[in-house]
Amino acid sequence: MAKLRTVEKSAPKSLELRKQAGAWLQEQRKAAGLSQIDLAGQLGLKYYTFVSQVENGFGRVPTESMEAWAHALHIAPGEFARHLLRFYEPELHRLLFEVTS
Amino acid sequence: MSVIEFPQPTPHPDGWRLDELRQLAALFETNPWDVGATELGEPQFYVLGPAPDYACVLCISRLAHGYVLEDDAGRILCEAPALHLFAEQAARAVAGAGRSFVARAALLICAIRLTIEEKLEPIFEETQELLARFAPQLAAFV
Repeated sequence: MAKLRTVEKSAPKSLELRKQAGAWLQEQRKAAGLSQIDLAGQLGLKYYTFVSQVENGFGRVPTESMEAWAHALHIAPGEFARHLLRFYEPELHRLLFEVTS
Repeated sequence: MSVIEFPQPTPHPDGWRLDELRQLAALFETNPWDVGATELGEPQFYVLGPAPDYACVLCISRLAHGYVLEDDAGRILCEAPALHLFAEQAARAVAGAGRSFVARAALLICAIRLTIEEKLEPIFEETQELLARFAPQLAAFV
């Protein structure tokens, strides 16, 4: 096999942050009492595989469906997006919410 | 009477069988990849984009009824009962609008590989068989 887990050891920061985002999302889903299948159903997805892709830290919650994810997880959409931005775009999050002029 | 025990295929820790994993790794060998599993233990194969982000561009999952290929936004690109049936559908998915360049490139390479495997390999095999049959006779003439 040519490339077995090529990104395993030197996981860059963005990958690590996506994994953290995935872990946080999984925590929120469990807190909402939902399975991956339940969440996918609420998001209108045919399969629950995308939820797993995101929770495992490989995919991201698409911006256009953040509101739906937030509602399904009983989180205010603004708060949800802001929290995810910390993982997905840390520099933008810093500029928007951490830097004081 | 003695019962011969046939060796069982060793399952990969993430749920993939070794033959499936080999096939997928060969199809997407130009991309880095990783594996994982869903909450229910169904295996997933993530085709990743370039460094440094290594963002998932395609994801193949094996569910009870077959394989599902989806992109990084959860859009289903194709479903097939067997991996080798991905060729045609993957080729169709390449043309789909809205896919990222990396996803389209990965799909295109996968489609080409599968087409080569399906269409050309039997021809090569046939030619090899013919050669094997007639080579001794040809050699006798020389």
